[in-house]
Amino acid sequence: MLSKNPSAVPADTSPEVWQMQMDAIGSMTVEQRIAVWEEIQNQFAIMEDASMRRRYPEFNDHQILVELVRARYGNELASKIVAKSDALPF
Amino acid sequence: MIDLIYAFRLVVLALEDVSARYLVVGSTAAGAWGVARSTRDVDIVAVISSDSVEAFLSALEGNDLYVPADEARLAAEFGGSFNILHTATGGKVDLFVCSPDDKFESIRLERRVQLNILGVLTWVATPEDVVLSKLRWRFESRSETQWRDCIEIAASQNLDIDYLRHWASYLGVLADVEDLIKT
Repeated sequence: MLSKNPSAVPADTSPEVWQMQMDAIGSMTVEQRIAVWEEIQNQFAIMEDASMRRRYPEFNDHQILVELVRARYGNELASKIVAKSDALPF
Repeated sequence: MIDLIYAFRLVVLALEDVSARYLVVGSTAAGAWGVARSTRDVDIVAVISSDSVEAFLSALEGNDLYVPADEARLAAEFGGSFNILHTATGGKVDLFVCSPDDKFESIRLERRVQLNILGVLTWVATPEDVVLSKLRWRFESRSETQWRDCIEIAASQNLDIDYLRHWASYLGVLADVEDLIKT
């Protein structure tokens, strides 16, 4: 038997505030919602990058990118970035 | 930092180049319909046949993209998915190849809408189709994240309930849709 679905309102949010949030999102245009989504992706990438640089302060930009890809997608895809850079003439 | 724009733009341009029917799905599409959360990659469903896969692979060439050509050919022949990685920026697109004979895939390709995402004019799944595909995806896992995405879309958009019920019944997720409507 399938498990029951969780309640609509997250445990840390009051139903009134949650409804206000949903109404606010619903009143936005699709362009505004996409702009918010894009900003979230951008901020997430900035935080992820900063976190990796704190972890590996000695790494250059390329090494940081390899580690970011490894963290997000795993070793196999990270190895594609390494292989590509190895082929570069520097 | 990882940037999704280049991978997304290059894949969309290649799909347009070979006149493949496609639509953006998953969390990116959900973002257009009110789900404000981060995503790790962009999911795209496309109709790519064995006849068109070589042209598609050619259209992707020379753009700093890692494309597993054999996996793409297999997906074009038998269905399935493969990753496309932009090696200069780390952005990734997951491409799910669908059959034009699949009734749900056909209807959501028919209903897709054109939106500008990450600076690219692209085809995107409607909110009803995002909900239906997320419910189908989470049917076994009962993922809470996917459920919350569906709740937020349902609570903030005027969904076509008759359409949702019809296709939920077809996809075997009617109980979840009824649960969603009740909330």
